[in-house]
Amino acid sequence: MNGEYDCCIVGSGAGAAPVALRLAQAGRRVLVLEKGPWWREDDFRKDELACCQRPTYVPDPALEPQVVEEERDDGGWGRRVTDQGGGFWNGNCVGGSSNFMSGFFHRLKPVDFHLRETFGPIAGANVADWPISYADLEPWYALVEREVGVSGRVVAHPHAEPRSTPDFPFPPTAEHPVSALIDAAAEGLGMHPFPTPRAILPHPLGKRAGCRYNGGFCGATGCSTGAKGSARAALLDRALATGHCEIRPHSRVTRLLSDARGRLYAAEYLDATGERHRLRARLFVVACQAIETARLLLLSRGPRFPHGLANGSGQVGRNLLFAGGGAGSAFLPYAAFETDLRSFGPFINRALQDWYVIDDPAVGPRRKGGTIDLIHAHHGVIGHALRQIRKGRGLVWGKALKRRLERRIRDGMLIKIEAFCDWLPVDDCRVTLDPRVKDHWGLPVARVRTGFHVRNLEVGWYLASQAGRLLKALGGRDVLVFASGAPPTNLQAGGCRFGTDPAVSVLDPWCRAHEVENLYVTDGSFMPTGGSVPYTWTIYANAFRVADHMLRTGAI
Amino acid sequence: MKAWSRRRFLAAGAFALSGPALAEALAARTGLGVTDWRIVDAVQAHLLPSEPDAPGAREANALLWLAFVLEDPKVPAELKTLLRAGPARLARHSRTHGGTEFLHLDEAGRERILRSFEEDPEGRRWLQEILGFTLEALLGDPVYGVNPGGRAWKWLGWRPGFRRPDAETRYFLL
Ligand SMILES: Cc1cc2nc3c(=O)[nH]c(=O)nc-3n(C[C@H](O)[C@H](O)[C@H](O)COP(=O)(O)OP(=O)(O)OC[C@H]3O[C@@H](n4cnc5c(N)ncnc54)[C@H](O)[C@@H]3O)c2cc1C
Ligand code: SF4
Repeated sequence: MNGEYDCCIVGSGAGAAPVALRLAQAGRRVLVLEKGPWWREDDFRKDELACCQRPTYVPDPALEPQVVEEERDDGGWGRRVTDQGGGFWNGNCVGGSSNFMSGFFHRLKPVDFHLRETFGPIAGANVADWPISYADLEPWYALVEREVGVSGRVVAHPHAEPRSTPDFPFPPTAEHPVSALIDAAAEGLGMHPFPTPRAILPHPLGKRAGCRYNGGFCGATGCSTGAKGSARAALLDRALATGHCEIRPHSRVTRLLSDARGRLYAAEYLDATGERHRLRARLFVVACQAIETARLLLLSRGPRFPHGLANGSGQVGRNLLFAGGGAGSAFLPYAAFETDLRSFGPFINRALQDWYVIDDPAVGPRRKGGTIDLIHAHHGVIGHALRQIRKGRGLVWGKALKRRLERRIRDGMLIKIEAFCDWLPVDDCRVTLDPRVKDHWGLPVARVRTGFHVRNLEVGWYLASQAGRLLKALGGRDVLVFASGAPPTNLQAGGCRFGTDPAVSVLDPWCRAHEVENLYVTDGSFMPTGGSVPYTWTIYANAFRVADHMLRTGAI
Repeated sequence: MKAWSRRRFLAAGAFALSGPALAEALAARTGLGVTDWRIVDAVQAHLLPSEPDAPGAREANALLWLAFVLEDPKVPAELKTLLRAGPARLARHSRTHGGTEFLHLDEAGRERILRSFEEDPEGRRWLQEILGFTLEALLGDPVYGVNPGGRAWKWLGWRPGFRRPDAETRYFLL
C-alpha cells in the first residue's frame, strides 16, 4: 500500500488494535506504526532469561531511558535515570504489552463512573466523574468477551456488575487444586470468591489454538499458542486478513505534524536504520500506552500548539494512574495439605470484590474499596531462587542455600495476592518531558513523577489485610501482606483525561482531542479515574466504542 | 572479545573443559587473567557446591555462563565492570585479611574470607551478582549451554513451560 492512508495508528497494543480491526473491516486504509519488532507465536518461548532476567521485550535502557521521580521519606523527590533498567516500558513489539499480560480481566462497575457524585471530593485528589456511564460501556465489554476471547463463569456476589448477557462466551480455564481450597476457606469467612475472568481461550478459536496451561508462566511471557487475547493474536492478525491494514514494525514515531489550522497532516518516524520518514493520513490515532502517549503529544509542538499537541489546557500528562495498592503472599508446603497441590499448569483464578465499596464503620464513611486477585507466584524458577539468597542483612550460600531452594521450590508453592485500590489522581502523578535527559535520537525522554495519595495506602492495607485473613485460613505459612504506594509499572492509565470541559480535559467523550479534530487517543490515557481493577478490558472496550463512533459519525 | 560471536561462544564446545582448565581457555579469550577465572570458579563452587543428588555451579557450567554474561550486550556495562573487578579485589582482600592467596585456602578459610569480603559493600555486591548469575546457570534453560539435561529442574521438581526456547529463539537472537 502506498499513498495517503485513511488512518495512521501509532502503537499497536490493546488501545490500538480494536481501532485497526474495525476500520480495516469497514474497508478503510489503515497503517499501524509500531516502534518495536514483530514477533509471532513461534518467537515467543517460556524462557525466563528472556522474559525476566534481560531486557528482551523492552527497549535497551541505555538508548531509551526514562526519568522516574519518587517521593522520599522526607517529602522531597528522588530522581532516577533508568539507563541501567527499571523503567516503565512493558513490551514494545507488535501487540504491545498485551502480549505479556496475564490477562486477569475485570470490568469497571457502575459506581466507578461517578465517584465524585457518589462519595464527594477527596482532599488532595483530582477525582472527576466520567462523561459516560457503565451502561454506555457495557455493550463493549460484552463485545470484548467475544472478540478478544474472555473466559469465565458468572457467579453472583454482592458487588457484581450488571451484564447484558447471562454468562461468558467461553467457559473458565482449568483450575488448580488450590482453587477449591480457597473457595472453602473464603466461604468459611463469609467472603464471596469468584473465578477471575481471563483473556485466555480454553479451546481453539479460528486460527488461535487453545491454552496449553503454563500456570504462573503465562504473565511476562508471550503466548506460543494464540490462546492469550493479546492485541496481536486476537485482533491485529484479523485486521491484516482484511487486506486493508498494514503494520510497520521498527517505526518509532517521533512527532505528529500539524498545520497552521491545528490539523494533523503527517506522522514523522524513524525506521530501524534511523532514517526519517513522513507518513500522511487523514486521521491519527495515538495509543502508545499512557506514559509514552503523553510524551509523544508533548513532543509534537506545532504552530497552534506551542506547549505540545492538544495541550492548550496544560492537561496532557496530568493525573497519570496506576493500578495497585497492596500485595502479599503465603507459602503452602505440599506436605501440610491432604490435597495434592503439585500441579503446574492450571490457573488459580480466584478474585474477591466483597470490599469494592467499603462500608465499615471502623474505617469511616462509606468509601471506594477494590479488588483482590489470588494468583500464582510467577513460575520463573531463577526468580524464586534469587529470592532465597538473602536472610536479614546477609547473603545465604553453600549447602544452606541449596536446602532453602529445596524447601521453597521443591516442597511447596507460593501463592500471591494483588490488591487493587482506586489509584487516586493527584498532581504529583504525572508525565512531563525531562529538560535534560535525551534518548539516543536526541529527543527528551518521559519524566514520570510517581506520587500517590495516602488513601491508596489506607485502602490497599484494608484489602491486603482481608486477603491476609484468607491466606491464613487457607493454611498458608509465612503470610505476608502489605500496602504499597509503589506504582506497578505495567498497569498504566490516565494522562489525557476525557471529559466535556476542554479546560480540564484533553479528550472529548469520544476520545477525540478537544483541540485537534483529526486526533484520537485510544489507549488507557482517557481514564479520569481507574476503577479498582487492572485496566486492559476497559481499554479494549473503549477502543471498540471509539472505533464504532468514528465510523458511524463519518469521522473517517 | 569481538572476534567471536556470542552465538559461537555458546556453541564453542568449551563444555568439555571444566574448572581450572576452563579458566585457562577463558583467560585467552576474555581479557581477565587465568587467576581471575580460577578465583571465580572457586567462588562459584563455594557458593553453590556440588552434591551427589543436587547439582552445583560446576555441573551447571556456571563459569562459562559468566564469561558469556561479560560480553552480553543486554547486561548493563556498569555491572560488567563490577563483575570484572571482583576477582582482583577478592585476591587483595584475601592477602590483607587472611594473609594468603584465596586459592590456597581450604573450604573453611574460603568461607571466612568470603564472609569478611561480604562486609565490604563492593565485595557484597560482587558476591550477590556472582551468586545471581550462578543461579541463572543452575536453573536456566539447557539451550543456553547451562543446566545440562535440566538436572537442576529435576532436582527441584520444577517443570518448564510450553514452548521451550530452541537455538534460534534464544533471547539474544530475537
Ligand atoms: C507482565 C504484564 C502483566 C499484565 N497483566 C495484566 C492483567 O493481568 N490484566 C490486565 O488488565 N492488564 C495486564 N497488563 C497490562 C496490559 O498489558 C496493558 O494494560 C495494555 O497492554 C495496555 O494497552 P496500551 O495500548 O495502552 O499499551 P501497549 O499494549 O503496551 O501498546 C503500546 C504500544 O505502543 C508502542 N509505542 C510506544 N511509543 C511508540 C512510538 N513513539 N512510536 C510507535 N510505537 C510506539 C509500544 O512499543 C507498544 O507496542 C499486564 C502487563 C504486563 C507487562
Ligand atoms: S498457552 Fe495459555 S498459559 Fe500459555 S501463555 Fe498462552 S494463554 Fe498463557
